[in-house]
Amino acid sequence: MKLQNKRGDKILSVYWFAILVIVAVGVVLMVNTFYGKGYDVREVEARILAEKVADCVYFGGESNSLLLTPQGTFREDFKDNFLSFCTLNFDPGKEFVRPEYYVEVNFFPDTNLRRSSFVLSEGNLNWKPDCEEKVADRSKLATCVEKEFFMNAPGGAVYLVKILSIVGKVQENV
Amino acid sequence: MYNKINSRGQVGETLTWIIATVIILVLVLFFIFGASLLASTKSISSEFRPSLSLTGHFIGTDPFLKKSLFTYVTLPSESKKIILDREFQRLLSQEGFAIDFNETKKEIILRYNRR
Repeated sequence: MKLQNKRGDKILSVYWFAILVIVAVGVVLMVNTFYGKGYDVREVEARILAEKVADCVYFGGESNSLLLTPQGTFREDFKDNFLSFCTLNFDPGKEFVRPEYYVEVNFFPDTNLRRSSFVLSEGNLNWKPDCEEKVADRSKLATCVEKEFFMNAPGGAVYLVKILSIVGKVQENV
Repeated sequence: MYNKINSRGQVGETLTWIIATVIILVLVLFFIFGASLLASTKSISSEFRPSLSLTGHFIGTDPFLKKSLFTYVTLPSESKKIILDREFQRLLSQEGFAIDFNETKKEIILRYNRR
């Protein structure tokens, strides 16, 4: 009778140990699934990129002298040296890998806010169609941020500057 | 007779433990599923604020609005100011600004006049 009782206690201890293991594994899995997943920071990244470009084009109430002549006309060479003039680097650092970024800046004169008079663009244009997609789950698509502001140009002209900033990083962030 | 009653009791007790185990397993699986669902919502988006003490006026961060307002106050032409004002109202109604528009406008005009 006493022997039987002891065996029952043993079985119960093993059972409790198994439950403890199950709960511990469950907690580890919960923490791992929650903290193991990365944060999607692409929207903030795209906004920072747009702000950087905006500061490069227009800062402290003055437009970049490398972009506009004192007469108020756009310098074409700014297009070719856009990244270096704005100290931006889209180089992915690997060969045969396309940049994860795309930036487009449109300058609309106040006289015609529908027709852009100067365009700056740099980066991977293939990300741009992603901005048009209207789907709920955008984790597999690039993140697009569009910002605009008014800029005083030399010669009294005013431009509406529209900046489209895109961050791909579909694999890294999601 | 005694043995039969005893074994029936043991069966009942075992069943209780089995059901308890199943409930614990189901609960653990439910919480793991919940954790994975919550993990998919982790994102730092436009609601991200650089500082928790940030308030909704000039101190806030909307560099684009500030640039536009600075352009507005430095404009010599009144007619262009009217056009810009109209555009601000359009933007305000369409998407709004990250910071209080009227407060920021007042603050920039004040700062500009102090110069």
